[in-house]
Amino acid sequence: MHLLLDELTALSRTPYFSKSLEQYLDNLIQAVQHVTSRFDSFPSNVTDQIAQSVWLATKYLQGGTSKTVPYETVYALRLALKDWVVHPCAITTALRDDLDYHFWSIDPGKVLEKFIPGVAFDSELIQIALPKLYRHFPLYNVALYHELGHFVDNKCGVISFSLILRPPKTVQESAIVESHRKEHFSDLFAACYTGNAISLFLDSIAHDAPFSVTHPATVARTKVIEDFLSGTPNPIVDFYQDVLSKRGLPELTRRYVSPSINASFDAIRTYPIANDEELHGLLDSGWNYLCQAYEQKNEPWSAVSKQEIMRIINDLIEKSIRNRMIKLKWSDAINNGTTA
Amino acid sequence: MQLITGQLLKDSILSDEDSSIFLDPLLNEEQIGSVTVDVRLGYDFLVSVVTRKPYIELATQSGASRRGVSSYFQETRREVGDRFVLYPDQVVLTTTLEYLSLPPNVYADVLSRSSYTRLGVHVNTMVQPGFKGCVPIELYNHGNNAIELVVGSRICQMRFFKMAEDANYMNDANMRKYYGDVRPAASRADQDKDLPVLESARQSLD
Repeated sequence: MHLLLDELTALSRTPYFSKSLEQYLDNLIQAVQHVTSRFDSFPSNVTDQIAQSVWLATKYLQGGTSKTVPYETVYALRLALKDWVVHPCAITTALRDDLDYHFWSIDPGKVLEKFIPGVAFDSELIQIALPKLYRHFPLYNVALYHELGHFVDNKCGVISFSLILRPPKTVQESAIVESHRKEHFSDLFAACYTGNAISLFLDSIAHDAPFSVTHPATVARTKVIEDFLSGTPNPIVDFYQDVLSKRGLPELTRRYVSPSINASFDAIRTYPIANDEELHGLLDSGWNYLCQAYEQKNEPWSAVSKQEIMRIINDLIEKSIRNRMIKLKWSDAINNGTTA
Repeated sequence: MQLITGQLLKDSILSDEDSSIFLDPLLNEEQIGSVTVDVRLGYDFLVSVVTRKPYIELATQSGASRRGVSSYFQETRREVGDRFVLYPDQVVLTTTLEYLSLPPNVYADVLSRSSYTRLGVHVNTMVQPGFKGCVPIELYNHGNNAIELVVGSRICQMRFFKMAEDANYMNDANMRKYYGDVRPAASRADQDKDLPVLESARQSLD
């Protein structure tokens, strides 16, 4: 615990944190100091649990100091998170060397609150991780909306409630049913924000993936998404709507508007995003635009390699999102009375 | 070539037409002056670092491996309003905050603003007609003291020249090396097509 405390103290002295993370880190340090000063008074199973949770948080908080995170993707996910989770969250982002995405709670505050009277954390610590290779490829990061779906499911107990409402027929199939329901729900959640982009992404990474214990076949997943987006009746979609309604949660619905980006992107210019719905919808428009550009039939793409097309379109999307963030920050500062 | 000034400059930047000068985001119209347009410091940086290899190697030698130019730079990102410290004698690559798209008949110069030149920060870059992207800025601190720069501050100014003829930036292979970049890119001088020719020329003299 002393070593972790040293590590956390060193982290708190780096100039690289956001205010919410700094606040969280200060609380964490105080709580860990409390534990270390009375270490012998805690049972060993309690100190073990605390140490493990703090260790995990320390590892991920270190990732937050790298200053290479894709702020644009994180910004878009924060907007989506606010639709479902109302309590304050401190988000730390890490870039991974493998191709794994995740969006989960790693909250040591909850563990500390459980065992130490008087300790309270104002916010929940959330960890987002994405492949380092894709840090400047927002179109590939639509996968994080799917991961956010898993996070919301875990937080709000969507699938666990669905299992009570409609339990699996046999014990043998219960694990498969639960896993498949989780995947379908997260796909639909992602489709609420990114439309067909999540289907195109699935198709690009797991085109022929068959039914497995953990995942439905890709073709089955994209069919459910397609039906949801086109408004075609689908029993899986209807079931989730029923579950969400009974849980008092927001319904699955389009929370995006796909902007017409052709004029801007054909001229290799950024698109001026008008609102949050367009910001999410830019990923849908971007994937569709990318598929057209890959055919290399129209200018300006006819003489450009596919690798360059991918880079330029992702860059235009990243910069369009960042420009929206900058304009909002600027207008907020002006509206707060700062003169330029 | 004719310097674009006054109302013509303002009209071109505020226009949505394909033939206009596109600058996004333009946070304040007062950035547009009578002769120049102020542009802002971007948020992505490549900071030069010292490595075990004592020099950056550009020349081509067949069969020999060489350390990539980008490995002499470390990436770091900031948010608008954040600080970035520029140390004396340090090379830092960054871009303008603004994304620029030039029509095929407009060329631009980028110069540091006088306030920053007086601090020892000189910028002097040219932008080809038809350029698309965030304009690369090579920062160098000529002074004796480190300088704390603010991301988003007006650090440079651009002047635009209208040419009599169009230049096709996209079709010139040599000029596409930095096309559409929205963040700083390390030098690709080692990819210049002349270098293998020069190496052959050197060997033919032996």
